[in-house]
Amino acid sequence: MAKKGSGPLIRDWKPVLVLIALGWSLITLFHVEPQKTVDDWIKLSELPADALRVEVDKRIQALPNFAKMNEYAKEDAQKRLMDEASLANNIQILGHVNGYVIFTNLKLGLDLRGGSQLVLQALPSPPQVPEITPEVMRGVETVINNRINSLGVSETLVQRSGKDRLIVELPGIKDPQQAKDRIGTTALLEFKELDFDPKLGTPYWKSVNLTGADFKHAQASPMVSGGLWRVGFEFKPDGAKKFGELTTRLVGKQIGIFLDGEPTDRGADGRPVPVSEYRGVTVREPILGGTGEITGNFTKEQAVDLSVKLNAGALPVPVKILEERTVGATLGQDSIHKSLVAGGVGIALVMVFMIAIYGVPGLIADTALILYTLATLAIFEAVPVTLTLAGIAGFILSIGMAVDANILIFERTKEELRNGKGLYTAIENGFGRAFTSIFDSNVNSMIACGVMMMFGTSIVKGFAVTLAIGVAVSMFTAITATRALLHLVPRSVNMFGSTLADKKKPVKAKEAV
Amino acid sequence: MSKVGVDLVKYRWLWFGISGVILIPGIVGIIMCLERFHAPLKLGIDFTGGSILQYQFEKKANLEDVRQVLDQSNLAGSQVQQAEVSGQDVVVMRTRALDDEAEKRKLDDNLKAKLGDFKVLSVDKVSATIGPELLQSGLVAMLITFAMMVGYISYRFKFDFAICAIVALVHDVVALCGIFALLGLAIGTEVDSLFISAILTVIGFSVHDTIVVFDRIRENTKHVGSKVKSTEQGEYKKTFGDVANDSVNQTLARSIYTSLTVIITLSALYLLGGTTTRDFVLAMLIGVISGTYSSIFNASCLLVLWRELRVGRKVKPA
Repeated sequence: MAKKGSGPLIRDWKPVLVLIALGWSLITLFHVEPQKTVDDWIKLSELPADALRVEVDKRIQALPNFAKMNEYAKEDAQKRLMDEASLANNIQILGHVNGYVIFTNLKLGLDLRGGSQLVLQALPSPPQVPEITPEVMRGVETVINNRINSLGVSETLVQRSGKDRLIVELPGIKDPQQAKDRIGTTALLEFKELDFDPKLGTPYWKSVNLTGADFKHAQASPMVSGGLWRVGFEFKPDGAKKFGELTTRLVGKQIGIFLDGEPTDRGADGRPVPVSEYRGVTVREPILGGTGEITGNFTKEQAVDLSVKLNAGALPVPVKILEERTVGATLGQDSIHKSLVAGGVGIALVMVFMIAIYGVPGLIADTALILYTLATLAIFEAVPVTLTLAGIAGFILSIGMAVDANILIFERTKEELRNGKGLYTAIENGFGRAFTSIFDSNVNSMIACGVMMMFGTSIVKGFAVTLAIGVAVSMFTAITATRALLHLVPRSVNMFGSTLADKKKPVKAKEAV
Repeated sequence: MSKVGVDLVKYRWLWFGISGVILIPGIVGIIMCLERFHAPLKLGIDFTGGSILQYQFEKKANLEDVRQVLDQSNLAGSQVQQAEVSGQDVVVMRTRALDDEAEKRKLDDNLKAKLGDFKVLSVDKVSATIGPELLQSGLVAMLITFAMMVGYISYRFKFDFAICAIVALVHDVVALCGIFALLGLAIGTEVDSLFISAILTVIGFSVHDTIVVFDRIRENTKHVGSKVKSTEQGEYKKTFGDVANDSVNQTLARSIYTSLTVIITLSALYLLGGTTTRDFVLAMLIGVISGTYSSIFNASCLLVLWRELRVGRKVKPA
């Protein structure tokens, strides 16, 4: 800072603001925790959902003041532990120092972490459901939610979109095909009786108005021998009554069990047997206890899958997977790595370029650029913005655009100096005159970003959000921060090739003070 | 004033010519695409519907074998390509939309039986029903951005300035689409919804570049008619063309530096960044270069031409 002459600058609020912004960014972006704590988070995050719940309960009970805790306190503790477990999915470890871990906590999108995004559409099924109403959608959402929870994946998201669509996000899923099979099927279990059609002269399966919706609970269990599994079920009281009447009426006859119109019996290939070959189950005696079992040559996976679907309930209407975006963890890792390298090289080259062209002011623009990078990332973390590959592209692009403001200002300043203005005036005029252009350019980018956010798919939105935040932050760093920093540079330093002018007109240089 | 770097007005037909060299093949490409793909560009699965599967086989997979499996699995006519992700071979299959999950499972089983185990790198599926919807919302987004930019420019500038800025904007969009049409014909580059974001970003960038130059022209129009002395011509009155020339040269350094910084970051992304966004970055790169060119040369030249035609070479101060 300059000697006695810099009074007005110290009273200036801008350098203070820049320091506050820097401090906030650093605090928000970087976290330090003991190695043990972080390791524990990671351990928690690697547990499947069921095991995690058990572990969390165990820990709450182990708390020293557990006996004194009321329900609210217990809930709070549970929530905190769950949050910590999900935290580990989104931390990027930067380094280890003396038993402490430094990390950032940016939220990465599915294309970087690996996972699946599905867009489901509910299809009307006349005559029962001729139209998708909000009530129907609520039903669909509940069932899909139940089924997803059964997958044991943390941080899943089910979100309604438009009139008849659901967006489902499954981060870090190991077997997307299994998930899709589980989510996409209607899972309508129906009991049917064998009837004779006089017109066709053949028997056919007739609906008896008893479905999986009448179940209270279903559970898969192994059969005594042969390595096959079965699904046991228990009816609700109404269903038990219906089932009792049905089995009383059909003693010695067959009952068929169908899932989404296909027999539950599996053939040798593991697929449902064709309806023409399906013989159903013969009722030996009335079943009045309201329990029963489905045995259909199930493997363990098939039996568990069926029981999960039965417990989650049938979808009120069929759904169709309109869109799927699945990225494996390997590709995600590769993308993260490449983005980091590309971003680092991009920033470094821009910084070198600025110093090469402008010298000391370039260095100051670079300092502002570092502040820009930190502040933008801190905002991403604070909001939080989910970073996708396209989002990172938007961010890196915004770096190029952020220095544009500096270039505009510096070019103006140089011109002012050429016109014989003193350094201080030249800088001030440079900022003043370049402001309209900078503002205009940012309005334009914001318009484009706004439209993308309104109309784009999620991948497009990711790009638009990061670009928009970048543009907004650059207004601060490139204008306010650069200006404050420029004025802090001692007058003796050669800026914009201005020493010559200073020597010729020493008075001019002081006019600012 | 600074030394004149480029004589804008003198070589105007050269500048228009360079644009023509880029635009005309592009437009031909767009027409050829219309004929071959029934769309101005080769549309990707986002807009047409379809599935793209990227699998990494444990053993090196023979593409012929993959093709055979696809034929067996009722997916004849699918495209199979070899790609590379972090130094590993990857098989990319483009099929019609695999809406039936059983069908997808069967394909996976068949592939595993014939070629051994594989790792799923990515699966993208867009069903045929949603594709046109995405295309439509993309086009609506483009039209709205366009309308908003036109509105903004018209508000900021006089009518003739606005028209010239818009022509420069159209120039950039056509150049970008033309080059991608040619790429689509030559190497099968497809456009997806990110391409539309690229266009929107380029529109924003191009308008911004033009505004910087036009702002300067507007600021300098007060010099039109002022007397200047030059060694070659002696004393003469500045025309609008001279002023435009000065203005472009005053902003030239800035235009080029700014574009360079954006080109540097985009190039880093293109060369080192993820493969998924490579075409998207290329689109922005082309758009930014075209945007810089058109705002320096085309937009200002057009403006001069317009003024000259309107007042028959007797330009009054604006």
